[in-house]
Parts: sequence; C-alpha cells; structure tokens
Amino acid sequence: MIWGKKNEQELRRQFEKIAYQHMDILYGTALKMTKDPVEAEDLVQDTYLRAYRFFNKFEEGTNFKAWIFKILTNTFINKYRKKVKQPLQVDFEKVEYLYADEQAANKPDNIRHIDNEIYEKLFDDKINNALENISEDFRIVVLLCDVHGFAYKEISKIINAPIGTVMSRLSRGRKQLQTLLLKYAEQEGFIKKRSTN
Amino acid sequence: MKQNETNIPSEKLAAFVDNELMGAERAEIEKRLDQDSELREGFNAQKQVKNLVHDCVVLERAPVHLRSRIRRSLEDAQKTPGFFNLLADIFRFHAAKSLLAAAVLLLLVTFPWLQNMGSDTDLFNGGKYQIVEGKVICV
Repeated sequence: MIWGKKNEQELRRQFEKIAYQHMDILYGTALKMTKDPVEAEDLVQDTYLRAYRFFNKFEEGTNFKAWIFKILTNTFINKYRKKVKQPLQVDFEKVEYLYADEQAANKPDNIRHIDNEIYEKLFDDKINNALENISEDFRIVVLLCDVHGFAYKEISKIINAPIGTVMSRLSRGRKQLQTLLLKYAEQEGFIKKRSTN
Repeated sequence: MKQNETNIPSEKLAAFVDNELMGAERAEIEKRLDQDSELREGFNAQKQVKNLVHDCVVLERAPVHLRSRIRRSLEDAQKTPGFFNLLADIFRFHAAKSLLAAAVLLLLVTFPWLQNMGSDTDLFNGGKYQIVEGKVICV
C-alpha cells in the first residue's frame, strides 16, 4: 500500500493488541460450533480477517468481545454452517418421552434428588458431549450465556435476533441438555432404565 | 412449552435464572416460587443445567501456530488491499494533494505548446508554415 502505510501499521498493531487476547475463547467456541479443529482454525482466521477489515467501524469504549463474537457467529452461520456435517443426532422425541415417563413415575422431590446425584456422577466429557449434541441454534445461545456470561441484550445483538428468541432458545437448549444428561445417566446405569411401552 | 401451575413460561423462568428480570416481574416469580412446586422444580432444573455448563464445559485453547497463521494472513491482507480499500486510499486527502501538484506541473510543461495551438503557424525545423487554400506553404 502506498498511502497511509504508517496509519495502517498503527491500526494493525492496535487491532492485534486488543484482538489476540480473545483468541483462546474464540477458538474454543469455534470448535464447539464446528466440531472440527481444522474448520475451527479456518473460522477463527476468517473472523480475525473480517474483524480487521471492519475495525475502523468498531466504536472505542464498547464491548470488543461482544463485537468479535458477533463476527464469529455470523461467519459461522453464513459460511460454515452448511459445510458442517451433522453428527449422530439424538431422537429428542424419544428421549423426551423417556424423561416424561421418568417424571410420571417419580414424585417431584425425588426427581430433584435423583438429578443431583446423577449430575455429580456424570463426567465432564459427558456434559461437553451433551452440549455438542443439542441443536445448533440452542447450543450457540447456551454457550454465549452460560459459558461466556453475555447478557441477553448482547446475545440478541450477536445472533441478530430479538431477546424473546434468546430466552426461548436458552430454555429449550437447557431442556434438551437436561434430557440428554438423563439419557447418559441411564446408559451409565446411574438411574434405572424405563420401558418405552 | 410446558408451563407450571402458575402459568409462568419457561422462557421467563430462564430470564429469572439469569438475573435478567427486574422489578415487578422478578418479585412475582420470587413470590410464586414458594407456592408452586412445579415452578420451583423448573427453576432448579434450569439453574442446575446452567451451573453444570458453566463449571464443566471446557473450551480448548487455540493451537500455538494459529496466532502466527492469523498474523501472516493479516499481513497479506494489508499488502493486497481490496478494490474498495484501494479506491478509498486514492481519494485520501494527501493523495489528492499529490495529484494536484502533478496536474500543475503538467500544465506548466505544456503551456508554451498550448499557446501556439490556436495560431495557424507552427515552429517546425526553425521555419514558419502557413496554410493557404488547404495547402501547407513554407514561408
């Protein structure tokens, strides 16, 4: 570039200083989105390139983390979502039926008590696994809220959806997670298997 | 979406769990939690899952080579700006000044030649030429 080279260098230095400190969480989130390390690296690289291109539009003093997460999420939705192979999906209707059966057979107090025991016994990898197996839209919102601690307003801006949608996806995502965790607990033998008849 | 006895939707309960409800709405749920066991159960379940995700979900660290890979790609992007970036550069103020200086210089160089453009004579090999009845005659 001939003109404004000094300014450009300064801009890049400034960008790198702010942006690189978020690389680990961006990569970790990208990996949860794509479920593939190579895709995750490409997604993070694309995110940084886009963020750098539009860095002059970032308002100083506002939340850079939320801004770059918006770019990450949009890049994923627009470019990678179609490419990502769908994992082995859990039949939620069946699982929810099992859970409903479980609920019907137990008093509310007992369910809570059993839940606590189950959750204590389940390994972290089962919880990570459950998160990877819930619907993509729900997973993104649960990650943004429960892992990264974004407020609803910020999530709404990041995913470009109304706050009502954020609330709905969160509660449904948590419900799916709970259902899956119960299923895992059942498979591990922590709770008794129930017949679907 | 399944509701409890007091008809509080689970979306609203999620907002309560996440401390996103304020004022009257929050007070209302707080009050009903004591009375409605189904609501309490839903609240506990959401809170439990939220805490589990927060405490147990592990985010992998970025591989060491990723930073240098991104740095290289940023350098490349800087070296080869896009069409619109290039246009923006051209129209920057200092670029406009350079263009203006070049235009003035060009005008000064070509000024004598432009002065003679209007006349019917030309300086050519030291002699003068005139156009008479469509023919060029050396004077």
